[in-house]
Amino acid sequence: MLKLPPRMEEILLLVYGEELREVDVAKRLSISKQAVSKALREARGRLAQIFLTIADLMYADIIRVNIEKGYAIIKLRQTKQKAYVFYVPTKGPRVIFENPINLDKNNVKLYEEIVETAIKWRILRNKNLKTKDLVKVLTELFKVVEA
Amino acid sequence: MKRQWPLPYSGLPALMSGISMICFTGGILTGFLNAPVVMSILIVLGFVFGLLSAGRRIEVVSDSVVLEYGFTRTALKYTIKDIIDVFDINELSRGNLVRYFKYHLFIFNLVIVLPIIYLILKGVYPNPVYLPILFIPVLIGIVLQLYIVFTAKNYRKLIRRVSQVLSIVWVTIGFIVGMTYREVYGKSLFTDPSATILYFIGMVLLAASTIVLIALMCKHHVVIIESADGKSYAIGTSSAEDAKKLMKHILEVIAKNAEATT
Repeated sequence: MLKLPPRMEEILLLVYGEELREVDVAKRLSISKQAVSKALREARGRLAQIFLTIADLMYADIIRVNIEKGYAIIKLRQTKQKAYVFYVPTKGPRVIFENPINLDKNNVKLYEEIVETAIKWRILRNKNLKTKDLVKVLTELFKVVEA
Repeated sequence: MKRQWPLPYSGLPALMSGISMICFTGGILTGFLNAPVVMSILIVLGFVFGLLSAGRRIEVVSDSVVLEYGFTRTALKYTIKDIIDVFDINELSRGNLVRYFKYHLFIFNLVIVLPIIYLILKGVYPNPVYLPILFIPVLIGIVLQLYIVFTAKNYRKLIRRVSQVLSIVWVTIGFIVGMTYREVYGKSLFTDPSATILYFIGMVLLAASTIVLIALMCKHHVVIIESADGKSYAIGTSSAEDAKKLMKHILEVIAKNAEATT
């Protein structure tokens, strides 16, 4: 329910991540352009539903849903804190908070997964960011999604 | 009062609202040039374009959002399909309207600069009691310019500081008018009843237009919708709650429509 079918993820990433035209995606996947358009429309709807569900589960209001880049910003009603939801292909949505950025072993894995996802979706454009300071990269990521 | 309405920030409505602002500014200036016919035409055109670009209503249907503009009837209709981004710009820590709607920077700058160019080129100044009216487009242009650059809630403090500075500017304009009048006419402004009335009307209009604008800017939230073809559209809402309801409604309809087509 909180994951897209693999084919839909593939099409989304080709169109919005690699920024290919629908006709080029159709050629690459040996399907019709109409099939690509239909899959995109459906994927957008499903992603919207995933983010709505996460907001509901966390008792939060939606501030932003960016279907093109696979992320959402929500604000928890109880604490007024902002949370960032990123859709990680093959794994589903992941939620992180801006403060605090806690670099213990488990969190580092999560943050690296999100940075990699952000590069795949072209939210962050510099591939060298992976090797830089994780706190700096995450701060840069929050700045980009908040603009 | 309506809770949500389309804003004339893009496409034809933006062009028409820009023309409306320039017509009103031009109308004020031609009033000083003793050209009542041209002034009347410009003011009427200002109203016409303003009414044509006024946001009328929003409808969310299947996976599209329909924006209607025009008062009292619908003059323009935009259907936004393939929505890829929806957000409340006032809630983003780095949100600013100018990133999505650059056209208005040009209009607001023009509205600020026209009265100043007029004063410089004309050489002979109008009766000082008209100065407050002349400054209305300048102050409105400054306030709107600040708003599109510093839209996020974080900047509300800045907007409040600016409004405090503008109130000092307002008082200063009042003094300048009084002093200039005395220099030009050799007597106090308040000895002439008609000049006094004009002066107070100008000062009240000047204060009211900027105060109302700032109050509305601080209360209202703007929802931005981006479509897959790279176009952005703005919707004004009466409050943060209305913005949240609108966004949730749009996303629910998109999600439902995708379900229905599988």
